[in-house]
Amino acid sequence: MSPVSDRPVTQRRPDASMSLLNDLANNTVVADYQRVHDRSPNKPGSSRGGTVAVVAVLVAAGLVLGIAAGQTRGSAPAVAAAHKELIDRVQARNKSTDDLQKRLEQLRADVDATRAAALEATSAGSAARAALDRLSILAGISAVHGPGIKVVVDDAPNSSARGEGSSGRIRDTDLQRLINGLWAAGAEAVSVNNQRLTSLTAVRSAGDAILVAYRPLSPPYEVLAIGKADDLEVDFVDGPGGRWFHTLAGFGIRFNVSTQQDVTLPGASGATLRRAEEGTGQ
Amino acid sequence: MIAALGLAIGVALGLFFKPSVPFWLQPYLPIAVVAALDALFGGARAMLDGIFSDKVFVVSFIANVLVAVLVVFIGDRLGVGGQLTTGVIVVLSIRIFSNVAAIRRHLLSA
Repeated sequence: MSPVSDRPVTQRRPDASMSLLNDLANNTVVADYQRVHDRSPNKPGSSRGGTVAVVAVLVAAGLVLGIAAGQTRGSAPAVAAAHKELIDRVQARNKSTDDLQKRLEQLRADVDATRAAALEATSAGSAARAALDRLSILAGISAVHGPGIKVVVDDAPNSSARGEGSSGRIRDTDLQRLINGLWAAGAEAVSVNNQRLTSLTAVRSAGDAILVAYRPLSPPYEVLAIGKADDLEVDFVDGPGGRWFHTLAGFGIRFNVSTQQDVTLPGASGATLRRAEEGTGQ
Repeated sequence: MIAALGLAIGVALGLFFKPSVPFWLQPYLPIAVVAALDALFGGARAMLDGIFSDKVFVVSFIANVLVAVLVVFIGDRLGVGGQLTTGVIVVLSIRIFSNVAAIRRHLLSA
């Protein structure tokens, strides 16, 4: 036994690694024609019945092409119509949501007015109403007005590039620091872009947008706060919130604080009963 | 000549009468078109090579279309219809290219 392999040394084709591509390119229908031709080179390629079959196949091929062309042309308007239909539906739903929201606000106002009228009847009711008014101001449910400050913050001018990594954009955490700074400076009521903040309002991000009370906001963010105007401004600007945005200004973020004589904040929508239940007796 | 006429008649029939294709068959129409083109170009090339055969043309056309549609149909059932469609289109279009290249060499000798 010789240690040398007795396998015949085969010359590897230089393009052996591309055999799949070669196979695809060369293994066409023509190979079949060639095989049939090689088997019986003298037999004429076509007979009468064969010609009929060929023509039938050609008609069938043309039919497939024509139907496909007709379908593509015919389905384009249908696709556009479906698209428009969807857009219409979205808009209709948006409108009905808006209408319902309006109706909800109106009904809330009715309930408040009716409750106020009912409580007005007795002295105990009057006391209860006064307590209710005070509590709903503290809870952020009723609209309030008073002296305060306006803080306007906006993304850096060149922050048009959207996405997670882009600097110069205000994040939810920035807005949280701003709002916490306002509370710390003694604000009694705060709203962001007309959304009143309660003790349960979340400020967080969803994708590119910042959500306040589950509603997406778009910059610039206008934060209103009611409090002792001069003290509030000084304490806020010197406090953690103001210092944070002073740092952010280095990234091009715009930050502007102004004292206001009288700002009006809306009430937060949706005060939900969580624990209280209707009494059983008396 | 007769081949071109047959094709033209087929296209005209398809365009003018607009036969309604069953809904379940519609996704396979583009695949059938590409498979049919492959068989047509193969036949044209064989004709130029002088080795055309009725039988091979008819059989290759029907088999091409059926196999292509069947592969995609099975792929749809298995949930890989998109990928198999891509595979079938790639294979068939490579073959169309090589056939057209051969036809071009015949006609333009370039």
